[in-house]
Amino acid sequence: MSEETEHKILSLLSTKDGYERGFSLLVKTYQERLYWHIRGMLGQHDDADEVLQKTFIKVFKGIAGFQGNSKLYTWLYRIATNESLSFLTKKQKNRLESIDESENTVVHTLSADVYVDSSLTDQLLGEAIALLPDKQKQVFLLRYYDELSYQDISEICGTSIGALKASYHHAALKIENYILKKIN
Amino acid sequence: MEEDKLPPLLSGLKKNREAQLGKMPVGYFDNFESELRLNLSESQKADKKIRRLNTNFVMAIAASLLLFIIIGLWFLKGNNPLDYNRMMSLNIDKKLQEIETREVNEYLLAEIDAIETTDLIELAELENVDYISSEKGQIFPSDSLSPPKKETSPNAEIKQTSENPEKEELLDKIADDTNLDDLLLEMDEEDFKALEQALLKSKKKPN
Repeated sequence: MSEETEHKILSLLSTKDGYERGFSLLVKTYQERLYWHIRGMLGQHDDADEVLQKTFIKVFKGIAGFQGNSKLYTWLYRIATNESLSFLTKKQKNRLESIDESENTVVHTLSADVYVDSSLTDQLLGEAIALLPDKQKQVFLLRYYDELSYQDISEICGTSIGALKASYHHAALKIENYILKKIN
Repeated sequence: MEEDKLPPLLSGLKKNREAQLGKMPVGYFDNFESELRLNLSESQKADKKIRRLNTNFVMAIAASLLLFIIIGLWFLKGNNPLDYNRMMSLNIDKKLQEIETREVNEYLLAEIDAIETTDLIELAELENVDYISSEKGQIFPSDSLSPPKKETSPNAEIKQTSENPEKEELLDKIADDTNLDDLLLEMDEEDFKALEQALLKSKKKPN
C-alpha cells in the first residue's frame, strides 16, 4: 500500500477520462486485504462477500468527498470495519439466544464451513478469534494478520495507541488460553 | 513495526488466513469487479429514486401547509379574505364629511363668542349662516345697528327687522355672496359707519 499507488488512484478517480482506470486499480489493490479483514470479523464467506460489496459501493459513493486527511487505506479499512460491525449488530439482534448458545453457534458454523480445511491448531485459532468481542477481534486482525502500525489502527478504530496495545495483549492471551484449554 | 510480546503458542504459530479464518472460493475475485459495477449502478439508481421521493414528499408537505394556511385565513376573515371590492364599496368619504361638518358646527357654536366678527363673516361664507345664527342669535346688526342679541333658547328664530328691508337684503347677499369687499363697496356711507360701530361694540364685549 505505497503512497505512490494511493496518489495514482486518487488522481485517476478525480478525472473523467481516468475514472474507469482508477476504479479498477482501487478494487484490484485493496479487494483481497479488505476481504480477509471482513472475513475475519464475520467468519463466513457469504457474509464477507455481501459486506465487501457494500464497502466498495460506499467507497465509490464517498470518494469525491475524500479530503486526504488520512491515508486512503486507513479510510478504506475504517469503512470495512464499520460495515462489518453494523452487520454483526444486525445479525445479533435477529438471533435470540444466550451467550453460551452464541458461542456454540460460532464454533459450529466455523467447523461446518465447507471452506475450512486445516490443522487442529489452525481451526482452534480461528474459533478463538471468532469468539473474541468485536472490538478486540478487530484490533487483533489488523495487528496480527494485516500487520498495521498502532498509529494506523488508531486512525481506523478511533482509539488511543495505549488502549489498542492493551486490547491486543488481552486478545492474544484469550486466544492462547482457549487453544490450550481445547487441546488439554 | 514495533514488536509485540505474543504468548508462546501464538508466537510459534504460522499465519495462514485460509487455514485459520476460512478458505476463499477459487476464482472469487475473477468476476468481483464486474459484479461490483452492476451493484454500484443499481445502488445509484435507487438513490436517485429516493431523492425524488424525498423531494416530492417535501413539496407535498409544503403544499398542504399552504392550503391549511389559506383555509385558516378564510375562516378567520370571512367568506373571502381576498375581496378587495368589499372594502372599496364602503362609502367612507361621505361619512367622514358628515362627521366633519357636525364637528365644525359644534365648534362654531361653542366658540362663537371668541371668534372675531370678521372671521364670522368669512365663516358665514363657507358654512350654513342660517343654522349658526338660529343657534346663537342674530350675528349681523339690526336696523338700529345695536350689538347682536344672544338668544338663550338654542332654537330661537332669527329676529329679522321688517323695518329695514335693505339690511335683510344685505344679510341674504352676505349669505350667498363670497366676496366681502364687493359687499362692503355696495354699502352706503351711513350703513357702513353703523356696521363699524356695531363691530367695535361686539369686540369690547366680555366673553
